[in-house]
Amino acid sequence: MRAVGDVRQPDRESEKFHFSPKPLPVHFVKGVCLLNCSPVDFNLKSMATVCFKASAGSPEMLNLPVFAYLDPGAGSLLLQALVGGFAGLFVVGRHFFRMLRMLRPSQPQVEGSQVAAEHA
Amino acid sequence: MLDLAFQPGSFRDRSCRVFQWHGEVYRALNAESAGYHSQLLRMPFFTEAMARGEIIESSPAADLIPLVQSAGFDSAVRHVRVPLISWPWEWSFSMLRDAALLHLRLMRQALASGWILCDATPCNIQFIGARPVHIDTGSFVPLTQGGAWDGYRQFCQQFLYPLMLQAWKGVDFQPWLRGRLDGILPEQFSRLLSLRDLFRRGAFSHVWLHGLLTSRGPVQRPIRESLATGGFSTEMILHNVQGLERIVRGLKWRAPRSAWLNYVSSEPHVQADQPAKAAFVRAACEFLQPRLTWDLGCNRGFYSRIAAEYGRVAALDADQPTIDRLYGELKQDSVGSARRILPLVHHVADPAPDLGWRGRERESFEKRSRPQLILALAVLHHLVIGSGLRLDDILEWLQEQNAHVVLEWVDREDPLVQRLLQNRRDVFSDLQHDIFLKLLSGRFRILRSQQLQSAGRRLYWLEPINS
Repeated sequence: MRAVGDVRQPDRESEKFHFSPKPLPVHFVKGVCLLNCSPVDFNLKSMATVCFKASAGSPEMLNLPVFAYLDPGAGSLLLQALVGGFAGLFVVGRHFFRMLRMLRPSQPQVEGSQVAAEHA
Repeated sequence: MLDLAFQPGSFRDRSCRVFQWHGEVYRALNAESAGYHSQLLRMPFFTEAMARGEIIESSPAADLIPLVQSAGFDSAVRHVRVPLISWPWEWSFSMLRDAALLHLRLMRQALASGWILCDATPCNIQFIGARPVHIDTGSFVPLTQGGAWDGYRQFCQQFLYPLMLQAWKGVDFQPWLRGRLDGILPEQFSRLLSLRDLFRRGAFSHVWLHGLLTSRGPVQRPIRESLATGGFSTEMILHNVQGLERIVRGLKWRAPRSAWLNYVSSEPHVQADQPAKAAFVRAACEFLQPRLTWDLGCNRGFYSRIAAEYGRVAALDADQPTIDRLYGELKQDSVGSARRILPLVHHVADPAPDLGWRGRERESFEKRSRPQLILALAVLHHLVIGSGLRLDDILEWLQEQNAHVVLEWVDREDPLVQRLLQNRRDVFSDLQHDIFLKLLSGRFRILRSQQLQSAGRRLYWLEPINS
């Protein structure tokens, strides 16, 4: 029986990821590879995961003014960086890297403190 | 709050709305938009484009400020009136292409000055004669640091994909744009691409990858902020715009062989009748001085040019290659009167209908234009035989337009009518001269008629009785 305020052990899935991982279409991954044009030390699997994460959403929020009344489309925004020249690839890379960092497992709870909390 | 008569299609942008007041066109602006507009009038890129005629002429309308304030706005500007509004589904390939290039050129110039066009609908571009003009000054907004081009997807859907569809696939884009006001979706257009198409310029990134990235649905994701903090810059938008300009310039449409392209020169009797018809049309124009003439089935615009000496002309033809060629010729034409002709892809039996929100957002062709003269030279038999319209219906419709009509009657014995009938079951019993004359009575007064050199062809100048 857990008391109110107990720190629950997160389940293993949500500890690893903030989203439900789904397989990414292979042609999408190939497309990203072609655009980046750097097959050397290119980790296809991580890139695929990050691409999907990027298209699934990021928790970062800034208050930038938005003038347009129309929905620019998340995918279309991402594509603008991809077709925005060489520097755009770095922006996308930075975006993906940030996503990748978010994929890292969160700090595990100290087992002892939880046990102590349960007995409190 | 006063309820100004805002244009029915001007509702999406909350910062400004277009309305008419005593026959003039105005734009009501909120405080933010008014600030932008006064800044724009000091920006060289904007004033120079306005001087070149690429942006609609606008001037502050201080006298209308109390009026727009009562409607919840803060300021107003007066726009020069566009003589005849047209929609992209009435344009030919070259018209849409020129409109796209104008939009990209203005984008490039605006970006260099720290401004951007926040949307990219072709409806913001109108044609004054054969010259495209950007009419939505409210689309120009200051560019924010790290901000993206919100109108990119709209540009692809409503400019780029329709042009690609026509250029690469030879499929008319007009029914696609008319069928969905948002244009062709990336995920749908990418399905049309063949393996060969994927190697064409812009196909992989702007179509295939775009389709892939947007196929997950219109979920709002905070990618914009992530890109902004990641270093997204104006140069990237500029790079994209320049790339799109190269792609659009490279899109060429090889128009299919159309029977109408050499119609006059290939038919000697049509050519022989031309001088008499021209004199007849000129006499009618001279008398009426029409502000607007519809030239139905205009072909090369021979009679449109005559009517253009007296007023504006909507040169209408259902055949896109014909309109595309006429547009090209009018662009090159240095004669002032040719600049009054607006060529449009228009089928009398299938005209542009009321579209969009409540059927008012994009008005039908008939609601947008009120002609004083209609030229219907040798088109009646096409409408009856080709489109299956009833003769009495056509005459009733012409009468409803409340305009004078110059009509060429072609008997069914004419070789061209016989050609139309040769593979059809002749059910067109109403296509008889005596029936035609009987149907005219009560609807039109015949002001003048003239037999042409070709047997069975006769000109009529008709005045509607309800006028």
